[in-house]
Amino acid sequence: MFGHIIRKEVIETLRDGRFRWGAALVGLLLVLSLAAGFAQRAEVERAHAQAQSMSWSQWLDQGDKNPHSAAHYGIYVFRPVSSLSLVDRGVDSYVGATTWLEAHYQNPFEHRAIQDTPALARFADLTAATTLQLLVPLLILLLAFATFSGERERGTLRQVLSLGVNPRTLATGKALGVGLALALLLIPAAALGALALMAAGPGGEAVADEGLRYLLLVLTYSAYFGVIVLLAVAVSALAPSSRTALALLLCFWIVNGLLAPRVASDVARSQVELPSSLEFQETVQRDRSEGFGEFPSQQLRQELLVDSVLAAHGVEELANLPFNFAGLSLQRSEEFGDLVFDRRFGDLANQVEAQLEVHRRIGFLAPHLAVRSLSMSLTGTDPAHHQRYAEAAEEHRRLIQRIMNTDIMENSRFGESYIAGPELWAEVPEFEYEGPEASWAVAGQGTAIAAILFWLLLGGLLVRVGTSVSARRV
Amino acid sequence: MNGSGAMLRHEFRMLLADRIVWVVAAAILLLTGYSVQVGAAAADHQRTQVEQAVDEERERYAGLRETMTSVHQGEVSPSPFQDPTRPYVMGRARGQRFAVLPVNGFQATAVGQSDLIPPVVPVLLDGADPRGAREEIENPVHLLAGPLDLAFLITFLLPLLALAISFDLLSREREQGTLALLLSQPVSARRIVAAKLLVRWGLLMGLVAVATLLSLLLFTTGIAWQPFLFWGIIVALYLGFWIGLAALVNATGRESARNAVALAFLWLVFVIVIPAGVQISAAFLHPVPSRAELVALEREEVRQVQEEASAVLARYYDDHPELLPEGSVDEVDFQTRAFAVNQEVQTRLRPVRENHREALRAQQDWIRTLRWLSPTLVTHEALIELAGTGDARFGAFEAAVDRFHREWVGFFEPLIYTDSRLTPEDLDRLPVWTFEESSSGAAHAAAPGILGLLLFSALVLGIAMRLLRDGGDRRWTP
Repeated sequence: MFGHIIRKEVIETLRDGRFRWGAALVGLLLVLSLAAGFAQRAEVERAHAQAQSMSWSQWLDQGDKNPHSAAHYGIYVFRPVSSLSLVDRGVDSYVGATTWLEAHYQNPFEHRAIQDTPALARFADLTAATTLQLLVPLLILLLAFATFSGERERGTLRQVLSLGVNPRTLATGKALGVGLALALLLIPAAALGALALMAAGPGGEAVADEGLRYLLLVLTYSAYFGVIVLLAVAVSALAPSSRTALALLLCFWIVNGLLAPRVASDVARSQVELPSSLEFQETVQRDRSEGFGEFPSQQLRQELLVDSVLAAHGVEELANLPFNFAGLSLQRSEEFGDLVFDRRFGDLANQVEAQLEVHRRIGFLAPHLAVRSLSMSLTGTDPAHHQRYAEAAEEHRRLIQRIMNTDIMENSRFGESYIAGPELWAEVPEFEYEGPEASWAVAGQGTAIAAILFWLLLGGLLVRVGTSVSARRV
Repeated sequence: MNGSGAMLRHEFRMLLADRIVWVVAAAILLLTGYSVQVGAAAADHQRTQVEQAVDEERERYAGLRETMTSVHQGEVSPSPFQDPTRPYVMGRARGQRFAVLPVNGFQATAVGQSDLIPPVVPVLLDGADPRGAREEIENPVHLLAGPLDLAFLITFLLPLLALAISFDLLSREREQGTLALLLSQPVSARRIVAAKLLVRWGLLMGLVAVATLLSLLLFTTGIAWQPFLFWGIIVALYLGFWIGLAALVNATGRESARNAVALAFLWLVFVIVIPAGVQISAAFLHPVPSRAELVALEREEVRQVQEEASAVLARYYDDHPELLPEGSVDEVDFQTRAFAVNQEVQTRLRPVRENHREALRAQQDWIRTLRWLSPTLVTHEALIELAGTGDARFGAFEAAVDRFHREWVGFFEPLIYTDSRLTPEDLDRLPVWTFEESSSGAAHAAAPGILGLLLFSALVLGIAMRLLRDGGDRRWTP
C-alpha cells in the first residue's frame, strides 16, 4: 500500500505543470547561480593570491633599512576564499578582504567587496544558497499545499480512507512522494555542486575537510526541505480548505524567509550593542596609552621597564646593557599592545558572535535562520571563520614584530643607527593559513542544529495531529 | 454612474467580509510602521556620524589655530611632523577635512546603499575615496540580510499582499457559483473586474499611504512633500501592475489554486529571477577589478617612484622654476619630496582607479538599461533614488569628493613646493566642503520610473481587459 501511495504521489507530482515549470525554473536558477558562484570565486581567489604574492615579494625586496622601519612597512595579507563559497558566499563580500600587518597596530580588515557594487547587488544577490534557502521551499509549498485538502475537496480522500488505509501511512507516503519528486531535481543539483567543487580545487586552504563539509551541507538542506515538506503536508491536512492552506503556508514562507532574517538583525542589535568604529578606535588608543586594569600608563610602563632592566643587569646606563635596549622596549610595547588587542578585538568578536547566537535562537521560530547559519558555517563563509583567519593573521603580525625586535636587540647597539638587509626579511616565514576542520565549524552551530531538529520533530508531530484531524473530518 | 457607485460599494463590503483582507491590512500597518522606524533609525545614525565628524573637525581646527598662533609667536616649536604651519602636515591627518554626505529629507523611506558606503570621507593630500574609506563596525550578517525598510516592504512584500487579496478575483466567484449570477446582471465582465480592481487597489494604496504618512510624522522630523508625492505615484503604479497581473491571470479562467500558483511564479520571476539575472549579467559583462590588486599595485608604484624621487622632483621644478626655494633640488625638504612622490604615485594609479570606476559605472548603466525588464527593478531604483540612497546620489557624492580632493591638493601644492609656512589666517582660506544636491531633485529621480511603471500597468491591464471584453471569450459573455 505504502509503495502505491508514494508512486501515485510521485507520478502525480511529475505530471503536474506546476512541478515542471517550478522545477525547470529552480533547476535553471541553481545551475546559473552555481556557475556565477564558480566564476566569481575563481576571480576573487586569483586576485587575492596574486595580491598576496605581490605583497610578499615587496616585503622581501624592500631594500636595506632599519628592522623597525621594515616592521612599519609590513605585509598585506588577503583572505583566501573557500571553494565551498561557490555554493554559499555568506558574508564574504561584507567583510574586508585584506589587512595590513604593521608595527604597533592590529588593523581591522578593509575593503568590503560589496562597496564596489551597484545598489542592485545586495537586492538581487542570487547564490545557490539563496536558491536553496528561499526558492526551493517556495516550490515545495506550491507543490504540496493541496496534498490533503485537494483530495478532500475532490472527495477522493473519503474513498482512499474507506479502503482501510491508515491516515498516517497516507501522510507519510504523501510526504515521501513529494520528497522523491523533489530529489529528482535536487540530487543532480547536488552532484553538479560536487563537480563544481572538485573543479574549483582546494581554495587556498581556507577550510579543511571540504568533502565532509559538503556532505554535511547536503544533509542540512535535506533536513530543511524535510521540514518544509512536513509542514506543507500538515497544514494541508489541518486547514479547512486548499485556499487557506496555501495562504497559511505562503504566510509562513514570507515570515520565515523574508521577514525573519531582517527582524532578527534588529533584535540581535537591540540585545547586543556593537561599538561605533570611532569609539572602538578611541578605546584601543586609550588602553594603549593609559593602560587598563592593573597595567599602568605607557609612560610609567616604560620607566618601570628601564628601572628593572638596569637593576637586573647591575648597570647604570642603558648603553651598557649587553643588548640593545631599543629592541627590548619595542618588543615590550608590542606585547602590551597585544594584550589590548586581544582584549578589545576579542570583545568585539564575542559581541558579533553573541548577536549571531540570537539569530540562531530565533531559528526555533524561523528555521531559515538556523539553516542560513549552518550553511555559512559549513561553507566557511560565516563571521566565525573570518575571525579565525583574522586571528591567524594577527599571530603572523606578532611573529614579524618579534623577529624584527629580537634582531634589533641582538645585532645593534643602543643609540646607533642600524641597517639590516634581505637576509633578515627572509627570516620571516611566508604567511600560510590552514583552515579549520568540519568539526570546528559544527561545534559553534549547536543551537542551529538543535533548531533544525526541533522543526523536524514539530513537523512530524503536526503531520500526526493533522492526519487524525483530517481523518475525523472525513 | 449610480450603478458604478453601487457596484463599488458592494465590492468594498464584500472585500471587508473576507478575513484575509483584515490580515493583510494589519500586516501593512504594522510593517509600514516598523520599516519606516528602521529607515529613520538608519538616517539618524548617519546624521550622528556626520555631526560627530563636523564637530571633530571644528574642534581640531580651533586647536590648530591656537597651535599655529603659538608657533608664529615663537612660543612653541613642534617637530616638523607635527607642525601645523607646514602645509604638508596641515594637508594630511592633522588638517584633514571631512567630506560628508548629509542626510536626505526623505531618507527614512529607503536605506539603500547608505549602510554600505561611509557618509564621512576624510580628504587629505594622500587621497580621498568614499568606497575605500574606513567602514563603520557592523555585524556582516546584518549587512548581508539588508534592512527591513519601506523600500523592501514595497518592492518585495506589497506585491505578495496585493496578490493575497486578488488572486481569486473572479475564480472564487465562479467556484462559489456567484459568477453566473453576477454576469446575468446588466453589467459587463470588464466593469465587474474594474470595480474589483479599483476597490482592492484603493484599499491597499490608502492603507500604505496613510500608514507611511503617519509613520513619517511619528518617526521623522518632517515630511518632504514633493518626494512623498512622487513616491505615492510610484507605489500606486507598482501596485496597479500587480493587481492588474492578478486580473490578467484571473481572466484566463482557471481555478483559484492554479491562479495562486501562477501568480506566485510570476512574483518569483519579476522580483527575484529577473533582478538576479540582470545583476549576474552586469557583474559578468563588466567585472569590477578587485581592490586587492589595487592595494598591492599601489605599494609597487610607491617603491618605484621613491627610487626615482629626485627625478620626479627635478621634473616638477623644471616645469615650475618659479616655485623652487633657494638652493638646489637635492636640498629640498623631506616633506616636499614625500608629497611629490605621492602625487606621482596617484598620477600613475589614476588609470587603474579610473578602470575600476568605469567598470562600476558600466554595471550601473547596464542595470539601468535592463531595468525595463521588471517593474520591480524600475520601482527599486526609483524608490532608492527618491530617498537619496541610490547609485545616482552616491555617484554624485563620489564625484564631489573627487573635485574637493583636487581643490585640496591644488591649494597645498604651491605652498609645499615653495616650502612656505601657513599662518592662522590661512585657515580661513582653506577649501571648504560643500555638497550641492542635484537641482533636478525628486521629479528627475522619479520620472523614468513613473513612465516605465505606467507602461507596465497599462500593458497588463490592457491584456486583461481585452480577454474580458464582451464577445472576447465565451466564459465572460453573459
